[in-house]
Amino acid sequence: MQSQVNHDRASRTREARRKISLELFGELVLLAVVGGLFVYLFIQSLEWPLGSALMPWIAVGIGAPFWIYRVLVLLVRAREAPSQIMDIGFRTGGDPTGERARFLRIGLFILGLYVGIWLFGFHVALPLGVLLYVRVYGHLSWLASLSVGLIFLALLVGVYDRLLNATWHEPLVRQWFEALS
Amino acid sequence: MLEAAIDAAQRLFSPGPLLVMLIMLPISLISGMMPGGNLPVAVIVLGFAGYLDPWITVTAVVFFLAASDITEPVPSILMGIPGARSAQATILDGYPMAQRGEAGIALGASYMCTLVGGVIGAIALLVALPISRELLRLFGSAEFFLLSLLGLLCVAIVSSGAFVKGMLTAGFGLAIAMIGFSPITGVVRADFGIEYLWDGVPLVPIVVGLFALPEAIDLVVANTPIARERLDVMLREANRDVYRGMREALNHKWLLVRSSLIGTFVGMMPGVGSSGAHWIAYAQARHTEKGGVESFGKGDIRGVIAADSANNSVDGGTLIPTVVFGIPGSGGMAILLAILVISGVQPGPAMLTQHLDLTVSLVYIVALANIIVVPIMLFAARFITRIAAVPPNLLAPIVIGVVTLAAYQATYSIEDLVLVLAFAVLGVFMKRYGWPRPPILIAVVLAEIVEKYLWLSVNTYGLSMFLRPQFLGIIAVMLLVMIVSFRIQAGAKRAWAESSGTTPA
Repeated sequence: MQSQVNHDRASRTREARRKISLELFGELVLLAVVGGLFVYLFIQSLEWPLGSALMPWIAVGIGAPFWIYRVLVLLVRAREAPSQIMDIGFRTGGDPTGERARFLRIGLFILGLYVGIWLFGFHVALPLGVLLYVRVYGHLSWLASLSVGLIFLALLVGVYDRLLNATWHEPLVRQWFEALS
Repeated sequence: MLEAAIDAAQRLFSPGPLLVMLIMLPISLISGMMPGGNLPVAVIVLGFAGYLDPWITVTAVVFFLAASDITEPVPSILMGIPGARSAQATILDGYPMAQRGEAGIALGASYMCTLVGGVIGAIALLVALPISRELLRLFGSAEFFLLSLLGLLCVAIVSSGAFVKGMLTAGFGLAIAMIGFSPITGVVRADFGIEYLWDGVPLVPIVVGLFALPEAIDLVVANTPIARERLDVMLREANRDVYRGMREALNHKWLLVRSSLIGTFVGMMPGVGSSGAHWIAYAQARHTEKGGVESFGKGDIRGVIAADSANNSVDGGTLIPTVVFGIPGSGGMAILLAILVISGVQPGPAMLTQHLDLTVSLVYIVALANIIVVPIMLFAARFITRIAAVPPNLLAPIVIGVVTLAAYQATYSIEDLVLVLAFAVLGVFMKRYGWPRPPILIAVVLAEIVEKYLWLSVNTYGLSMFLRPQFLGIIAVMLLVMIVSFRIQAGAKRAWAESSGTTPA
C-alpha cells in the first residue's frame, strides 16, 4: 500500500518536472528568437548612418530591458502574478494523446501543402490538398470534396489568373522536366 | 459649401456612379473577408483612371475601400484572424464571444457600430472639412510622431498583467519592421543576406502566419467547432442574437459615440489613423468602462463596440490628409491619390475650393457604403454565424487554403510561404506559452510611421520640439493615460489577488 503511494507521488513529481521543463523550453526558444534578432539588429546597426540606425536602437531599447527581466524571471523561477495576456491560448482538454496526434496531423498537412505548392504549383497542390483533407478527415462525400477542390481551382483561375494576372512561381517538378528534355 | 453639397449629391446620384457602386458591392463584400484582400482590387480600378471620368473611378475606389472595411470584422470575430489594416482589436473580444457561441451577438453589435460609426465619421468629416486645414496646421511632424507613439503605447495599455511580455513582443515587432530598406537613407537593414527581405517583411504573411494558421491548428487540435458552447441556441436563435447584439450596441451609445469620434479625430492625423485608431479607442474603453480591465479580452461586447466604432469612423478622417494635404494614410488612400492625379485633379488646397463638390462626394460615398452594406451584412449575419458551427476538419483546410492564397499575394513569391511557415511556428509557440501576439502586429503596422515622423521631427525641430505647446500638451495626455492606466490595472490586480488568496509578484 505504502509503496503504491510512493510510486504515485514519484510519478506525479516526474510529470510536474516534465511540465516545468517543457514550459521552460518553450519560453527559452521564444527568448532565443527574440534576443537573437535584437542582438543581430544592434550589431548590424553600428554600421548604418544615424538616420537608419536610430529607430532600430529604439526598438532594441524598448525590447532589451524587458527581455533581460524575462530571462531573470525564468532563471530565479520567480512566481508570477496572474496575467491577462490579451490573446487566446490553445483550447486543450483532457485528451493529450489525441491532441498531440491531431496537432501532428494538421501540422504535417500544412507542411505537406506548402511543399506540394513548391513542387507542383498552386493549381495542382492547393485544390488537391484541400480536397484530400476534407475527404479523409472531414468525412465529406467524394462529390462534395471534389466540389470544394473545384471551387479552389475556379478561384485560382477566375480571380488570380484572369482578374489579378497573378504571376506564379515555376513548380520545381516542371523545372526538372524542362531540364531533362 | 451648401452649393457644393447639392452639386455633389446630384452628380453622385446619377446613373454612372450608382452603377459603379452596384458593381463594386459584391467585390467589396468578398474581398473584405480575405486577409490583405482589398488592395489588388483597388489597383485594378487604378488601371481605369486614365480613361474614365474621375467621378466614376473615385466613386469606385472609395466605395470599395469603405465597403470592404465593413466586412473585415467577419474573419476577426469568427476565426480570430485580424485584418491587415483594420479589425485587429476586434479579435480580442469578438473571437472569445464566437467561442462562447455568441458570434451572432458580436456580429450584430459590430455592424450596428459600423453603421453608426461610419455615419458619425462622415458627419464629423463634413463639419470638420472647412476648419480641417487650419486645425491640421497646428500639428507638425513632432506631434504626428507622438500620436503614432500613442498607438504603440496602447501595447502597454492592452497588455495589462502581462506588461513585460507585451512590451517585449512590441520591441520584437518593431525589430521585425526594421528589416529591409530604410525609408530614411535607403540602406538595407538586417536582411540576413536574403534578397527577398530587402523590401522588408510583408504584413499579410505575418498576419497569416501569426494568427490564421495557429487558429486553424487550434480548431483541429480542440476537435470542436469554433463555438464550443450554446451551439444549438446559436443556430436556432441566430436572428435573435443578431438583434440582441444591435440592441447591446445601442445600449452603450456613449461608448459608441466616443469611440467613433476618437476614430474620426485620429483618422485625420496623416499616416497614423487607419492603423492606430481602433487600438486607441479599444484601450480608452478598457480603462473608462466599468470593470473593463477585468473583462476586456475575455469576450466583453464593449470591446467589440469600441474597436468597430472607431474602425469605421476612421475612414472619413483618413480622407482629410489625403485630399487636403496629399498625404495618404494607407495603401488604399495612396491609390485614391494616384487616381486623382491621373484624372487631372491635384490634391491639396484646391480640393477645398475648386473641387469642393468632389471632396464632399467622398463623404457621401463613405456614408452610402455604410448605409448600403451594413443592412446586407446584418441580414447575412444569421447565415455567416453558421461558420462557427462547421466541423473543424472541414473549416480548417479551407481556411488554410484561402489564407495561403492571400499570403502569396504579398509579393507573388514562394518566399512568402516560407515566411508564413516561420511566423506560424512563432505564432504556435506564442499561443502555447502565453505570449501576446497583437503587440507584434501593432508595432509592425506603426513602425514605419513612427520612424518617418521621428526623423522628420528630429531634423525639423531638434530639441526645440520640447518647447512646442502642442507637443507638450500631447505628452501630458500620454502621461496621464499611462498613470491612470497603471493605477486601474494595479487596483484590478490587487482585487484579483485578494479574491483568489494569492499575493501579486
